[in-house]
Amino acid sequence: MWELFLRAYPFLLEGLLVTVVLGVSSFTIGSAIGLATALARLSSIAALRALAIAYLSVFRGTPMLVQLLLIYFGLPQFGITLEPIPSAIIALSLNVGSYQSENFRSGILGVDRGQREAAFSIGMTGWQALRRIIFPQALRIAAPTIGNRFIALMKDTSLASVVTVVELTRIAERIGSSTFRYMEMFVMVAAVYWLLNSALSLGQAALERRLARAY
Amino acid sequence: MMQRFIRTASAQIWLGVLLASALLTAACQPPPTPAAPPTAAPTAAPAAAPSASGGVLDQVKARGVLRVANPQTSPPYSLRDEKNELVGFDVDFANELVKRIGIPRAEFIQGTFETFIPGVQTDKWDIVIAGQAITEERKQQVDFSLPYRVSGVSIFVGQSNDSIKTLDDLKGKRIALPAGAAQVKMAEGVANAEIKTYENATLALTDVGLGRADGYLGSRFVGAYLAEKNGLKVKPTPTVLEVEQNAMSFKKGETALKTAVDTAVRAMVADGTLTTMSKKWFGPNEDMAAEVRKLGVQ
Repeated sequence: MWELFLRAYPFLLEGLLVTVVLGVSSFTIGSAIGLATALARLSSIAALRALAIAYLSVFRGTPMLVQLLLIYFGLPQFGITLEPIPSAIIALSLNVGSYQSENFRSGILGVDRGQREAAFSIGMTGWQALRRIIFPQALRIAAPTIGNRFIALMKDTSLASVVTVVELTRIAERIGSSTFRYMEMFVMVAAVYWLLNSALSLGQAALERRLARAY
Repeated sequence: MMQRFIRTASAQIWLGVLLASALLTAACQPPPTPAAPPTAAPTAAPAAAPSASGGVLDQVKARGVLRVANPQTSPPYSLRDEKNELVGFDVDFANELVKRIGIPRAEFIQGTFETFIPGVQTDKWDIVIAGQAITEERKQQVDFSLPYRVSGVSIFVGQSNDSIKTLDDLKGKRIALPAGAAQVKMAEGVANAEIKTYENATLALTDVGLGRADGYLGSRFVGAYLAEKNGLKVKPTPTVLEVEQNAMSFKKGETALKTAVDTAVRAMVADGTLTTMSKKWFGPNEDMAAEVRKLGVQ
């Protein structure tokens, strides 16, 4: 076990880097998409609302694996050929964006109506009210579900292995199949995911404490 | 607040340590030796008494079904036809094999080159009939039958590529392979190459055609077949890098099963059955019986 770990760990580190890059970049892009979608859903323009609902329904209603395969193996049929990592980031971002839009929306709706009215009554514009009054409170309400989604996404990155991205899971499979020591390799890789997500949970707890301080 | 944080954190760490040590202990257990008698044979009916040694062949005969693993996405060896029926050279071969060793039928289970060997070792299936290449690494894990077909391995490149001709030309390039294929090892020997693995050979070759990989390593015959069937923009390079001997695999030390299977292979080579199957699936000029005879299978 130990000598296998010594042999595998440089590769595991490389895989971890790819996993983290996939997770963090998709979460950032996905959150931006999610915020835009949440605002679109709460907008008074019917076309924007419809568009947001259509996006949400497609990307939350289909499996991430299918979305990945569609983008990597499907799109080339229409002449759009993307490299593995961009394909994975696009699929993961679109998927996580659909969940994030609901997280943001629930946060925004959770802020008392009176807050908005008060903001308007002191002369703030709609954008100012959103940015200075609504959004900071919405974020606090949504923080636990947002953190939850980030951790879920970190594990979902393992699906990128099917579109030839060499991340943690693929590394474990590859070393497993060349040494026939699957048990040890998957235990190792499970431990790495667990450590990563434990660190994220602790970070989330710290962030929630920080956000709670304002009250 | 801080105290609660510390408590949660340390509780989580302790739980984790406990969990990790449990997993490690499990992982460090030596794998059961193939010779060890099965503690419980869940598939064998309790009434079926102590059936001799309890070897795989006896179990299979008691069950009346040989569980055969193959990829089912690997034309012309095993694939689903328009009616979703499983067909192919390996499927015909398996059906003929069970007839000859006196088992009522074969049941096909889908596996991949990555799962074939672990599946044999953990009793997910009795035999792999997927033309696995006989390699030293694999021989340490499973036993092989006599070879029942062969394949020449070449590099496939994009149609407009004229710069890649040998393995050396793939240095620093992207090499596409089905995950778990015997050629992964060959690719690993190429300096600085980026190895990309796929669910099956078709997807790997497709990516070479699309320019997302520079070369594919695999059977010339399969590559040419897939390229033609799917209109892929790839071509084989002229050199044959190695000739693979393809065989069936099963658990180590199952001499009764190995003898029965090898006897059937010899008979199929001798009586022309293998020749007929080759012509049916590979074309009129192919004769696997002649090829394996060259390897001493008579």
